[in-house]
Amino acid sequence: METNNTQEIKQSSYINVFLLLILLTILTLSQPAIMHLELAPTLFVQMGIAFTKAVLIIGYYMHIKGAPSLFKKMIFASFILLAVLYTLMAIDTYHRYVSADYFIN
Amino acid sequence: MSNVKTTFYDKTHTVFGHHENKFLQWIFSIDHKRIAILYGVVMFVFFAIAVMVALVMRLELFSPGQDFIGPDTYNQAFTLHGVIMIFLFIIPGIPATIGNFLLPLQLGARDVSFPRINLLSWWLYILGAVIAVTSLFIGDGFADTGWTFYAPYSIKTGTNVVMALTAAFILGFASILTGINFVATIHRLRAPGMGFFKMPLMVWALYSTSWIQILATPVIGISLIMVMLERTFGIGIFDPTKGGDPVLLEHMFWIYSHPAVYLMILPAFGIASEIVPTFCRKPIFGYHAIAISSAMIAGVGYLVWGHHMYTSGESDTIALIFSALTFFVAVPTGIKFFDWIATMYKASIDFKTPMLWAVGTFVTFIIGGLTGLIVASVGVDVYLHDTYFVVAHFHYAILGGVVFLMFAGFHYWFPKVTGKMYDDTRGKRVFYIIFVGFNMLWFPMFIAGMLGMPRRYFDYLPEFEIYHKIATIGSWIFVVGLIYMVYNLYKGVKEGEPAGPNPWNATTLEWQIPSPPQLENFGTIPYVDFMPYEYKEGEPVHHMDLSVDESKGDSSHE
Amino acid sequence: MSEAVANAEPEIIFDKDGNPHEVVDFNNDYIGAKLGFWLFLFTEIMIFGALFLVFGFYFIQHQAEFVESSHDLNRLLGGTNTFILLVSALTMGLSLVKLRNGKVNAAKRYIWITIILALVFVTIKYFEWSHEIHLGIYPGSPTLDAMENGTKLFFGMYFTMTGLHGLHILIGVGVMLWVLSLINNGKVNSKEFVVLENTALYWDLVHLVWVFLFPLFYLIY
Repeated sequence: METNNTQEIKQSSYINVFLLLILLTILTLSQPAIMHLELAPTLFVQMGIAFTKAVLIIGYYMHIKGAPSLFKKMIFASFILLAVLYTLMAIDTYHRYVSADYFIN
Repeated sequence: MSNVKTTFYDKTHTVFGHHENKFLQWIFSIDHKRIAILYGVVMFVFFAIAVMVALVMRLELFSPGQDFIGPDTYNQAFTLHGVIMIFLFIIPGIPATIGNFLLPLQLGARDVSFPRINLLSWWLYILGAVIAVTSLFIGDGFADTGWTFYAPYSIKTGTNVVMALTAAFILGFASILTGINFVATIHRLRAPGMGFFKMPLMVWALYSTSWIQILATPVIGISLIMVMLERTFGIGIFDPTKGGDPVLLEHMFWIYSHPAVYLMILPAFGIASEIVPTFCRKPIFGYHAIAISSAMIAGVGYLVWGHHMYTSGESDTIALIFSALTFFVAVPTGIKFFDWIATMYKASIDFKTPMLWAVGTFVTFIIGGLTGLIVASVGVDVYLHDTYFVVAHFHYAILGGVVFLMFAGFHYWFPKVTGKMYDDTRGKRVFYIIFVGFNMLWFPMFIAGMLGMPRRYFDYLPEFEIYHKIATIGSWIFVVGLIYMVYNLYKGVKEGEPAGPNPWNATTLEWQIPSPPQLENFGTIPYVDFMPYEYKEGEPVHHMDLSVDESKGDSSHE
Repeated sequence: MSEAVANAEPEIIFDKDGNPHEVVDFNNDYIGAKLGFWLFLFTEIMIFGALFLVFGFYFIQHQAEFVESSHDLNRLLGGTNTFILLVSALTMGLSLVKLRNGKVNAAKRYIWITIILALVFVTIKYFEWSHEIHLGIYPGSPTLDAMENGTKLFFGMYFTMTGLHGLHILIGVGVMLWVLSLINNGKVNSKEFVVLENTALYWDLVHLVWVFLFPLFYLIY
């Protein structure tokens, strides 16, 4: 039935993605020199580039783009879990020294 | 008629090939059924040890003041009790024993996806256990931090914290491997035709549990490593003098340890979902709801860890958020309970020992669960945190929920594993003794906690003495019941009646093969296009004989 | 052992209507092997994810010191390492392509190149660490203890995370050497390549961690 489904993997897709990743890496290294940004925008740009690289690596190098949908769902679920954990921790970190006593006028 | 070529099972049912020596055949076996029994035997030994440690603690607490162990030893005792019970007994728990034995059988498979990794998981368990036990006898003795090893004490204390944490790390790895094995098995090795919504509910439970094992355990793994690095190199992340935050360790710890309790209870609920329809002799009410509620509990269970930290210094805002989420996570459990009770409604119930255990657990677990909601509300928890109320709550939930259902499962699948049947009347007597002892042991603690008795305290004020005395006597009755249970099951193995393939008239696939199962589990794998608990007028709809036909040797298929 | 079983006849069963269905053989399950390995990768994602969480937690609380300490790290060496790891991910992937096409010697050559690149990475890391330690900056040192809390935490996390990452690189090298021996005795070949494929997946994960680690530590100045 589907015991040994393998995907085609081509040398050219590896090399093309490699070139893209090189480009993104050069961008990431030169960003502080080209654009003088405050901390928050710097992080935004850096993490944006990192995420783009991650999507390329996961999609092409790790063959998820052509994989059965089960793999896509699992990866998605794991990253959602991490995102939720980060969100809850962030809420705690920001409110740590703030009192939230709703019953005092 | 058999579809199986026998060469695999003859030559390779151990990881190193065929052995003459029976002992080696067992400890190197890659047969899931043997690995389950290996786990069961070792876990039972550790359970007994931890029970004895608890008896010592309860004996010390019988009267106020020091009786025969000192305060530091008492700290080591409750740490040892917690570490053994949690990491060596209840977390491998049902998945490693009943799960390992049962999962391929319920799916219609011949083994798990990765049998050798299954064996590796057991060996890692043994390694972790050896390291933990060794730390008892070296240097300053076993860790005295409590099983929760909060910073800064766990960073400063001279006892063997690093060894205990190393042991816990290795045990966590064993747990992860079991989880990986089960998820892969459930996705890949279901019998043809068996979609996800035709799987038995035990499998749904094991599936949800395995995801928790995979995604949550690494978080405590890295937390343990960070504490070890902090102790050894002083990196500063949990040291307030370097800007570190001990509450962060609590966060990291509970991000695993809360989902861990769902890891404990979900397989137990799966057992209940198997026992109830069998002894009510009707299909379970709300199959889809129970299946999805297992997944929901696993998912939402990641979002509630902060309810262990209301008084530790987390922000007020997040405490309220966690409280709301904790109330929410109780809902899927409630759904299961209503469905089980609805299954029992107007059923012609066959009250055998497993059913008695299951129903008894409903009583004790409801107490555990509802008292959990009491401490889930922030305002109340401010008073009850770190008191005996919490201790009683989690023992009602874990001992009165997980362990009782584990016992129910042992009594239910005992004939399948051993091929014999124990004495049912004795089995019921065992239940009642344990039930009485259990409630006598833990219920007074709710009251003591509300009156202010702190937990992990070696000594106490005279006003609490009566509660401690009742609890200690209850602990003796409880242990008498446990011993009697072991005796009953032992007698069952030695002298019990042969049980046959399906003594309970159940419907799932494991009951359609001989007891005990043959090595390859099934002769012909069935095509499963039916729901798992189909009964008609009290009788299973599908009777199958799926055994391997041994007279035919190497045979062909049709 | 697995050859006789792997090439065994698939097990076929029939349903009520006589349609044939194949039973998955757990000894010969390519998708199962990949699935199992991905599940293991999720544990790695959670481990490093938790470490990034701790990093983020302290970053928010000590932004100025983190930025200042980031400035002090050696971007040239770090950047070089980034390129090295990127190329090694390519060579690992290419080795898989070559093996699947039957070009065994080319595959082995690419694995060797990956190993060498990995060892260069670790060497450069060693030099970076030596530099910091030479300056007296290491966990528990008097120099570091005299600095701000944020700086102590930054370097505590730096050594922890790059250390754990480096450990994973060394483990990866060990695995690659093992895979080479499997290729040499034919157990991994153009038909049975899932072990190499999973190794490549592991290497991609190691690369992925660096993709996030590098900018967070080196580029927030």
